[in-house]
Amino acid sequence: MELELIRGIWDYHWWANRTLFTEAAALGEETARKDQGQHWSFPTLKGMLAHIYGADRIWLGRWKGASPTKFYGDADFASLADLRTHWDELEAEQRAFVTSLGTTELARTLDYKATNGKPFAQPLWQLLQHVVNHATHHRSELAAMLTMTKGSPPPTDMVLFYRQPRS
Amino acid sequence: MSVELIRELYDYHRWANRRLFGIASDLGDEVTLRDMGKHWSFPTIKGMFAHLYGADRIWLSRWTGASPARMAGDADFASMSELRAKWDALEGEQRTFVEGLSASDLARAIAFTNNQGIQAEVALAPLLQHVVNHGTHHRSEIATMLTIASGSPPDTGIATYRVTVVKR
Repeated sequence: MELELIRGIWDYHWWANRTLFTEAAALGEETARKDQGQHWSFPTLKGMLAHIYGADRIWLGRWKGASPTKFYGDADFASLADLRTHWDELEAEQRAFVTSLGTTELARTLDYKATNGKPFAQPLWQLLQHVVNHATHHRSELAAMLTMTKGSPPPTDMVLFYRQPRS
Repeated sequence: MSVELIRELYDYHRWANRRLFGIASDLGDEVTLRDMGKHWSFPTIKGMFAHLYGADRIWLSRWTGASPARMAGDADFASMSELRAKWDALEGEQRTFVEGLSASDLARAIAFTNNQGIQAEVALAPLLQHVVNHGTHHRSEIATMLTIASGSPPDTGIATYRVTVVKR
């Protein structure tokens, strides 16, 4: 069942990211670049989304045996549309990786170096949970920023995702 | 391994809740009772924590066969310390439940009626994941509120938890 648990949260992750990305994109590029203050992890909607992309990307690199030193962020994308294109590609690559995993791979200890060169070793399943949880933290910020901009976005609760009919 | 995955997620959940609760409590009523605006899910830090407690409590009841119609919240607690006492008790109960689960329990379908009267049926494991994910959403709001009130609180990410607390 552990494979189902991991695949389930990743299906949720892709759904929740797209739900909020679409909400932000509908407000237009100018709003997505508006500075909403230094108390957010990243001050703009675009910057926050770019950070989720960057974290997803660096972790996928580590899972595939690399120790990338570049963490992608706001400055790497000219627009939300540009970010969307890159994210679609990354998501496809992630999907292929996550759906290919077996139980043995989940338990595998992953050796990687953080961007500052510090080495770590952790089982893959913990890191697969970390990335989804990391994004939920920033999706919450996106939801609050969207609420301030135009009213509350639709909920992205995990239970709503699991309750909806799926093919 | 599915059991380990869920148990460790709850170890994380309890740690992250306590870490933020401790920081918030230390700042006193002036911060935890301050109205920080309607754009938050709940306008005060105390209200946000009370909601986390309420969600954890209602879900634990559903997992054990009840469908409570009411979710506990801010008005049910006179103070952060009263909430802490109730939460300690709930956390003990939740921990006993989670640590008693077997792989077959995780696959069991849970039928429940939510507080809008909608009936649903979902397997226990995704609901267990939901509650932690729900917690992370509101912990993020609390972290931002604390940042506004007193400066950024320490990280409560799963990777930080593994590397600095569990060390495995």
